[in-house]
Amino acid sequence: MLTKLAGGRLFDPANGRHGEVADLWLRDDRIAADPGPGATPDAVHDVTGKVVMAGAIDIHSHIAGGKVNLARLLMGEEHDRHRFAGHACGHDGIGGDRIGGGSGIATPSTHTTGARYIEMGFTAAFEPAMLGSNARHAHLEMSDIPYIDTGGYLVLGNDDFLLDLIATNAGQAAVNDYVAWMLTATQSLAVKVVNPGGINAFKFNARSLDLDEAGPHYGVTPRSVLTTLARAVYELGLPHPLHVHGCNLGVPGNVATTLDTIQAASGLPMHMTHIQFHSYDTAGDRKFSSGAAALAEAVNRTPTLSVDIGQVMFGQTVTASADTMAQRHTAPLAHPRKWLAMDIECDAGCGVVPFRYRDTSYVNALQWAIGLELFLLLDDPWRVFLTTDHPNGAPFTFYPELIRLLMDRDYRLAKLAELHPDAPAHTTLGSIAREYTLAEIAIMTRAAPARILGLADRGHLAPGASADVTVYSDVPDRRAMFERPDLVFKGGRLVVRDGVLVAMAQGCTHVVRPGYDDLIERRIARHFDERLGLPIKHFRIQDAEIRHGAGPQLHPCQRREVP
Amino acid sequence: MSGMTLTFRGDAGMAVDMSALLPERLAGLTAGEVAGLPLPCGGGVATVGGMFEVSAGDAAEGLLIRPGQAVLHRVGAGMASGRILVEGDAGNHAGAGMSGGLLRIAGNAGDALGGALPGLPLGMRGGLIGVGGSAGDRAAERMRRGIVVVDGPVGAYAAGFMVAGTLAAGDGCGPHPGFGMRRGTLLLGRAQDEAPEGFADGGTRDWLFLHLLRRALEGSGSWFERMGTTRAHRFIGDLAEGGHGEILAVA
Amino acid sequence: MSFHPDILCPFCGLGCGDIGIDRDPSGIAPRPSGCPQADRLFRRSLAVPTDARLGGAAISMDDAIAEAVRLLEASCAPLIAGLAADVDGVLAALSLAERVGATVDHERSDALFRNLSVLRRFGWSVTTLAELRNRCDLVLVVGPDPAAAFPRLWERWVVPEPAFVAGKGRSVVFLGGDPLPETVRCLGGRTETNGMDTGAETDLATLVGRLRTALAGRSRDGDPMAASMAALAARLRSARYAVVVWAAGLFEGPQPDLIVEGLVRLIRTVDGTTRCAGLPLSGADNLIGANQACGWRTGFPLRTGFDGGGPLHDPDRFDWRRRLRDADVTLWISAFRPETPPLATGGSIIMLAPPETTVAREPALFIPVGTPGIDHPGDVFRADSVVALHAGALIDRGLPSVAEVIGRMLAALGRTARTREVAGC
Repeated sequence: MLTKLAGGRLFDPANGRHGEVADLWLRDDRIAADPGPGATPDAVHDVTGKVVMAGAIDIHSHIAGGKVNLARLLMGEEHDRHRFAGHACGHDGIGGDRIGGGSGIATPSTHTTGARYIEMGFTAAFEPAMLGSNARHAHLEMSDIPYIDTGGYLVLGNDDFLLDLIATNAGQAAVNDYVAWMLTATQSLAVKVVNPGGINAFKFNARSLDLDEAGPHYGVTPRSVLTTLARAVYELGLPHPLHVHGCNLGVPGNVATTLDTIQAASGLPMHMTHIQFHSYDTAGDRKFSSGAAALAEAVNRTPTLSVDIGQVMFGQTVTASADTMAQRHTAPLAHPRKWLAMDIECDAGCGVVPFRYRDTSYVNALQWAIGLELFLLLDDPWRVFLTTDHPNGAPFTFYPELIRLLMDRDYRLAKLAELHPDAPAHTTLGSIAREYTLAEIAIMTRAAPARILGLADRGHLAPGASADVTVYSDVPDRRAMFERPDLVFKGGRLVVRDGVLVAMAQGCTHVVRPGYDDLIERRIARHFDERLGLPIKHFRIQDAEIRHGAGPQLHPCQRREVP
Repeated sequence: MSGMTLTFRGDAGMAVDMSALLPERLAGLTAGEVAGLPLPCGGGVATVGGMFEVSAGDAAEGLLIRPGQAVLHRVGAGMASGRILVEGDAGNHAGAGMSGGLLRIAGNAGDALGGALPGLPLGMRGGLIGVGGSAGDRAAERMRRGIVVVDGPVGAYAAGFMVAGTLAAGDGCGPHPGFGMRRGTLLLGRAQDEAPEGFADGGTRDWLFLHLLRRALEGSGSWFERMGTTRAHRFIGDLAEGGHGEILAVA
Repeated sequence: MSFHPDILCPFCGLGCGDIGIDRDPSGIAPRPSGCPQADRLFRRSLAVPTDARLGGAAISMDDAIAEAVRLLEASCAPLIAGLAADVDGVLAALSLAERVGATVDHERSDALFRNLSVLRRFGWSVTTLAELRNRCDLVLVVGPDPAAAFPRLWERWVVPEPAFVAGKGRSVVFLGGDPLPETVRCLGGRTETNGMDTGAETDLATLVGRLRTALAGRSRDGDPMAASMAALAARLRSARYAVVVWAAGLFEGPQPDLIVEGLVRLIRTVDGTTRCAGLPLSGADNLIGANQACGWRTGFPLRTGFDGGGPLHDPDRFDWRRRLRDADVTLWISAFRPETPPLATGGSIIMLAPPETTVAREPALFIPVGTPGIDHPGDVFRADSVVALHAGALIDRGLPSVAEVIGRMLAALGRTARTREVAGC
């Protein structure tokens, strides 16, 4: 099938295009080169004057797995209020021509998740906290989400096996092999560390754990867990750096921890996630203020660092995280007044606390401002990613509103004026003039996430790329623009037209396949037998289990040596 | 009373969810409009007109329900204002989560009278419920405010996890009254010598609260008005909850 | 004759992965596993009738599918229940339910909702089996011994030496239920076993209330249990990682979810100063997997239906035992065990079950299906709700999976959506 998108303005930063007018050709599921004057396309779309980008990529969104499903159960009131009927969309074959019904905004069900994302022109979203013990569940959910590519980041750093390797000085090579084995067995794309050592410490009744504090039982510091894992990720040649949810999330004054964590990376690539929640200082009578300036400055001068913001938006949502220690501190603030927590399989844990951010709350108002300060003070759109840490800061359906806040200073200032009256005085947001350009948005939401995840054929529009394309009308109201693309193509198929789903499509699951020394398997097998009561063969997820037999999309790794 | 009347004419034993049929929601609607509204029942959805005969009248002036052989659940659940009268029995969750208004059930009520709907952390927070017959288990569960008066007995776990408010049961209660109670009052129309499980003895005397309650229930025709007593044996608990709720058993 | 070690067991929910199976031309048989359920349910004959049955008479699968579709298309208030299938089977059933406007429920959901209703309104503080096995130094068992439903619980998850408990290992205290003789033998000398002496008091709500009162530092005058409850409260407070274990499905008395709520509140109180978590056990026949799948597909737990406006959850109205009374067509799915409960309904029954199933009353339509983990591979969830396991196939008897059968029904139902306007259609 040959499709022509005629006369659009291409925003394809990965290939140096920032709005140049050009035709775009799609052949079957790939972008194709211009086939020349004799070509007879099967479909032609006149996109003159419209903005054409690759499909957007969300690099951090809690959409699949145990804690998400638990959060759905806890958010019954929201689900009762937001129910969606299934409906037909196109004629694609048995079972594939209907989008199923569903429910939820902050914790949407699978079909609803896929529908809401593709309607906004997102063609990929990644589950950033997949526990090894829960990986099969996460993959089952991912393959039930239509339209978008997915993948999972494997949570490590609180598992007893790893902490034991570090505590007993087993050596970096053993750690590397364990990490590689686990990534392979769980079909993961990247390594995530959540409150390194902290979730494990909480199981031993530690209620806080600082970066350089020795954890109970293993006596290992979060710093050493962090550096060991960062090194493993680097040496294994994983495309995505260690994805770090740092210590002391949400604690006033934690910007110091975050700055120390940047130091701890000492030149190894690192991705720090939802840094808004890690940017708090303690100035003022409320002892809660913005540390965004210092953090932005440190990130700007450290080219090996990338960050995603985790922006807070006002309204009802739910916080769902593996960080049981942090969630215990949030629990008393739950709204509605209920929460859940789980210790999981000598692996990690999860905590789910419904939460409502209010613009009349000084703290929430400042959190909102801090997130925006970070966006606007960080120089390099190739190293900053647009997230709300869905659903922790806000549901992902708030992205268009967030884009408007970044691109429209007047609108931003008007919103700032609506907040708790003390907030504006404690943030520099009012004095920041910067407005994101379309080119920068294209970098931040397409080209950069693809690059940082190592997805070579996503996030750009050169021939050979996956034909994931979004076409927007260029309208001044950027929220309206990004909320409702004119056309969305997934794998070359037109799936959204004028905000309406017109066909079904399925994405794929991205995984890495780093090599490892088989010897580690004996050690791991013993751990599984003696500790986890499960023969290793039952833990391992086979390729045939991914996407109903379609298997994963593999990404190769090239071993590296730390300079 | 004037107002709208709904007379059930469907199959016996049909389980119906009545929560959408509140005076405040039906106010100003004609009988025809009400008859066309969706009504969850059994495993699906019917129309109000398919299950009930709808008389002309404005529900804002009152809603009279004749249940017949139906099992009507969630009658008056979430009601904020207005009057509902059930000429017969109500099913479960009658008046659950109510915040105002008056619900009268001439016959018996099922479980969770004036309680909390499934999955919700908070219960009734205002209004008045009167029941001529008995009520089932879990009456006034998680109540925060309001008054529920049952002339007959109530079942197990009455006033469970109550936060505040009053449940008055004319003919006693089943096991585990006040389970998890924090504050609020469970008034029993039968003498009680032994402290209920989880409650400490607080002595017998005349209580100001009962004078106030009698005034609040003036004209209700309830057992408490008829009995006219203000002297009761008081028990404080639930000790397990560190609670200061009270169970008052008339002396 | 071949031997297959480390086979995964999909039946009770503990997910034991060490079953040994012997296979020969007549069928399969398990090596003694220590579990009466595995020992019974893994015994399967290769030679079984594979015909569908219409009113008891054999028909082809094509005809059976056509008849099922005819019944479902004409139905006004269909019910899909039993739902004892692997994850793919449950997902197929959900797709079918949406297409025909049915409500769904699992045969064993009563036990699930005793726990789930507390999670949804109050919250939850729980742990998983490997944490119990390695970190727990005090087990408090509340109510009847869960081993009655989860036979190898103690052997596999409490007897093994804990990795992170210093000193003398762990204790197991039984409150409101005596350990079964097998449990006493199993726990033996390695674990201190203690049945709380509660005298004549057997009511579980009362016992839980007394323990909570002791934890609150209070007691009632003249309470004969006050001293032992205070002692137990002190043990909980001084434990490093206490786990409260219960099988809510075995609780007797009215409103058992209120006892469960008492337990979660108890756990939260202890967890305020030391570590304490619950381990609620329910989950035979992939009950937990069915609830997980329903959760991610609809956003709601089991007991969900589909009206025109999307999925709708009602744990009272959509309880399958209630729905049987008004359902005109019931699709009963039970792939794990060759047994079904009595289904008192005035409507027709379409039954998907193993061919060995004995029925009290012949259903209108019977379609034999394979058992996940025996006839075909399938995913099932462990009872502690986190670990999902992939059970493999052992024999090929020509039996389709639930997902395959329902997939054929969906295909035959055609591409146009059916809008069900009125229940009384």
